[in-house]
Amino acid sequence: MNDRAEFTAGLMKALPSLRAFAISLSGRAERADDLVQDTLMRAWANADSFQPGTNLNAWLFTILRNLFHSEYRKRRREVQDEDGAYAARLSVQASQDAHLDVQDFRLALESLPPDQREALLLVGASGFSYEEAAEICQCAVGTIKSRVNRARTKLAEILSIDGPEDLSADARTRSVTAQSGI
Amino acid sequence: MIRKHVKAEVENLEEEIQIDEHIQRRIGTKLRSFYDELLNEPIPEKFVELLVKLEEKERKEGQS
Repeated sequence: MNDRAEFTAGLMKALPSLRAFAISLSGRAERADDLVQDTLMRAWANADSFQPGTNLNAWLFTILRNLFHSEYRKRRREVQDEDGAYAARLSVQASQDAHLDVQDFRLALESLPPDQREALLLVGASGFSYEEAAEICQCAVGTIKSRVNRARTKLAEILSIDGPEDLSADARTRSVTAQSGI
Repeated sequence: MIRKHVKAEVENLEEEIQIDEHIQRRIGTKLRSFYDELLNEPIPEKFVELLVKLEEKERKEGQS
């Protein structure tokens, strides 16, 4: 297999995680697909600058987050307004139905500042180390740690998580207990 | 001023109050179940088609 075929196979393999990162970073599936497409094109055009044997996923994630941030800077004001709207919606959202958990989480994630969201996604979901995440975001490891920490604190606040159990878990436990007659 | 503030915050990282372990674990679980759903979504055909097209183009150019 030549280098280019191996590179293409690597891109194919990276597609699900690239797309998951793009969706959770941008919050919109349509925009995420544009981001993934641009990332693939750019990766292809710059394939010569990728060193075989190094982490292809980290290289691709770097391209994607740079594309996201250059686009984000252009439409910063608009996004901030949207963030405000999300926050407002969340604050009146008292219902904690179990089946809405993922939806609530998505909204809470979207309300985080992009740099915190990105750090949390890289370290907490995409499986990168703090060092790799720092390289992807072109910042210090301490900055990543701080952003992840602040992201978690903020999510806990928004989702009203303040102990080992949450309201929906309590509700589930109660209904199970009631059904089983314990 | 904002930049200075951020820098100070980073430098004070060691002193920052670490988030409760239970809370951290629960957020981790929620984050992963959210992310797993995305990872398991079918990949749009157009990405695979794009890569196939790019590779074909490369092969043709290489031959000529």
